[in-house]
Amino acid sequence: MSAAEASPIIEMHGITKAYDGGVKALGGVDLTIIGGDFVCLSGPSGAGKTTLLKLLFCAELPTAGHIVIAGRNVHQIRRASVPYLRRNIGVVFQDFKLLTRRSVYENVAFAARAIGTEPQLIEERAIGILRQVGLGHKLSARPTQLSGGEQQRVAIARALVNEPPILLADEPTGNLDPRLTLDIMRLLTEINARGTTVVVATHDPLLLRHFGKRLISLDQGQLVRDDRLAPVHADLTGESPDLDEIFGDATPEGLY
Amino acid sequence: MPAHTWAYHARTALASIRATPVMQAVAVSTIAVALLVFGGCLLLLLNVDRLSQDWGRDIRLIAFLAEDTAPERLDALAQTLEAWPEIEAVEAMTPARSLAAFRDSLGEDGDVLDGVSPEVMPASLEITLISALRTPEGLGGIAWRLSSMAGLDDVEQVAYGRALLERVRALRDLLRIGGLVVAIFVLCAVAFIIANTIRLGLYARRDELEIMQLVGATEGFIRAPYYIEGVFQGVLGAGVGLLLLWAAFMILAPGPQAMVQFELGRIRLYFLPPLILAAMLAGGAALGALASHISVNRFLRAQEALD
Repeated sequence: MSAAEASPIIEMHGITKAYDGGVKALGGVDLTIIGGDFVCLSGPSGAGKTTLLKLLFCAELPTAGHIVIAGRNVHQIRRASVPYLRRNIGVVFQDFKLLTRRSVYENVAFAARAIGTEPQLIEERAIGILRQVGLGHKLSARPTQLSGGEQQRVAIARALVNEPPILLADEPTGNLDPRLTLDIMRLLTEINARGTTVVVATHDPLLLRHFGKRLISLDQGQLVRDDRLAPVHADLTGESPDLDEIFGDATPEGLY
Repeated sequence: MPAHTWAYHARTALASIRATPVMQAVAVSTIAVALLVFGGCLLLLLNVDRLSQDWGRDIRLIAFLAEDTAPERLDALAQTLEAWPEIEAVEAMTPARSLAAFRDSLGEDGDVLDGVSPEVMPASLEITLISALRTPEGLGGIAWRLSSMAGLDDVEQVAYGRALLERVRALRDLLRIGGLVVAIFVLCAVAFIIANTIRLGLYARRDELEIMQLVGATEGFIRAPYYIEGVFQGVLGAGVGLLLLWAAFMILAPGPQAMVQFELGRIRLYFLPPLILAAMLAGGAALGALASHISVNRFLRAQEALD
C-alpha cells in the first residue's frame, strides 16, 4: 500500500443525522477510512447504512459533526462546489438506476459527458471500463436485455468511468441471485485491488465473512463493531471463494 | 465552455424540443399571440403618439405687429421672445415671407396672388411654444403676456383641430396605461408558458438528471440545454408574433390610412422601428432564459428535498 493510499480519504467526526419528526438515523458516529481500503458496512435494515452513504456523497448534510472527503470539509464547501466533490465518489445502488432507453455504452459515456470530458476521452474511458467489468461485447445492448448482474456491472462501470478514488455501493447485490452476487463482489474486490477505496453497505451476513478488509457494523445509528479482517480473500493471488463455500447449504430460496 | 460542450448542449436541447413537438407548438403559438397583442398595443401607441406630436407642432401663436411699428422691430422682438424658456421657436414673418407662405398654402391656385403687393400682409411673429405648453391654458397664458408687450398688436391662437388633438392625446394616455397592463400580463403569460414547457421536459428527463447530479455534473451543465430551449421558444414565439403583426399591419394599415387621410390631410402610419423589434426579440430571449432558470431551480430544489 502506497503512502497516499494509507492516508485517510474519508473522515467522519461526531456525525449525527436527525430527520424531521425527530427520527435519528445516526447518532455521533466517528469513522476514518484510509485510501485503498475495502470496507463492508453491515447492520440490519434501518441501522443507518444508507444514511451514512448519503452523507458521504453529499446527498444530505449531517445535523451535527463534520465530514472530510479527499481532504475537503463537506461543511465548508460552497453549494456550487458540491458537484466537484462528488467527482471523487462513484455510487452504485441496489436498483442499478440505469437509463433503459440508452445502450450500455451510452449509459456509461453519459456519466463521462456530464462532467465535460472531451469526446475522444469519453469513448476511450467508457469502452475501457466496460471491458474491465466484462461487458466489452455488449456495448450496444439495452439494459433491459441484460441480466441483473450485468446491469449492476454497467452501473459499476458508470460509477467508475470518471475514475473516482472512492466507490460507494448501497446493497449492490440486493436484487441478485447468489451466483451473480458472487460475481459482483469479486468485481468489487478487483476494483479495490486496483487502488479504489470501496465501501459496500449490505445486510447480507454471508457476504461479510468472505469479502472486504474491514467490517463496520451499525445498529440504531451507532457504530457497534469495527474489525479489520484477515486479508484472505481480498488477495487476488489467492483463491477466490466459490459459491458453495460462501453460501453453504443456503439455497437461493433460503437466502431471500 | 469548450465548443464540444456547447454542441452537446445544443443537441440535448434539440432532442428535448423534438421529443415534445405538440407542446412546443402550443408554447410557441401562445407566445406568438401574446406578443402579437403586446406588439399591436405598442404599434397603436407609437402611431397615436407620433400623430399627437405632429399635430401638436401645428399649435402656435401668431403675434401681429402694430401698424405703426417700424419693420426693424420685428427681428428685435423675435430675439427677445426666443430667449423665453416657454418658447421653442420664433419665426419672423416679414410681409414678403407672409405672402410667399400664403401663396404656398394655396398650392396650384397660388397664382391668384400674382400682382398683389406684400405690403398688404401684416408683419408677424409665428411662435411655437415648448410642447408642455401646447394646451389651451398654456397658449392662453403666453398670449396674455404677449398682448401686453409694446409693439405687438394682436395675438392670435392658432390650433387647427384642437378638439381632435385633445381626444388623440387622451387616447394616447389611455393606451400608455393599457399598454403597461397588457405588457405585464404578456410578460407573466410568456414566462408561465415557457416555465411549464421546460418543467415537463425536466420531468421527462428526471432519471438522466438524477444520474448527472450523482456523477458530479455542475448545475450550469444541467441548466444549459434548458436555457437554450427557453431562449428558442422565446425568440421563435416573439418572431412569429411580430411577423403576424407585420402581416396584419400590411393588410389593415391602408384602411385607416385612407380614412384618416380623407379627414385630416397627409398622415402616415408607421410600423415598429427596428430597434423596438430587436428589443422585443431580445426580450423574448431573456424571458425564455429567465423562465427556464426558474423552472430548473424549482426542479433541482425539489430533487434535493426528495433525496
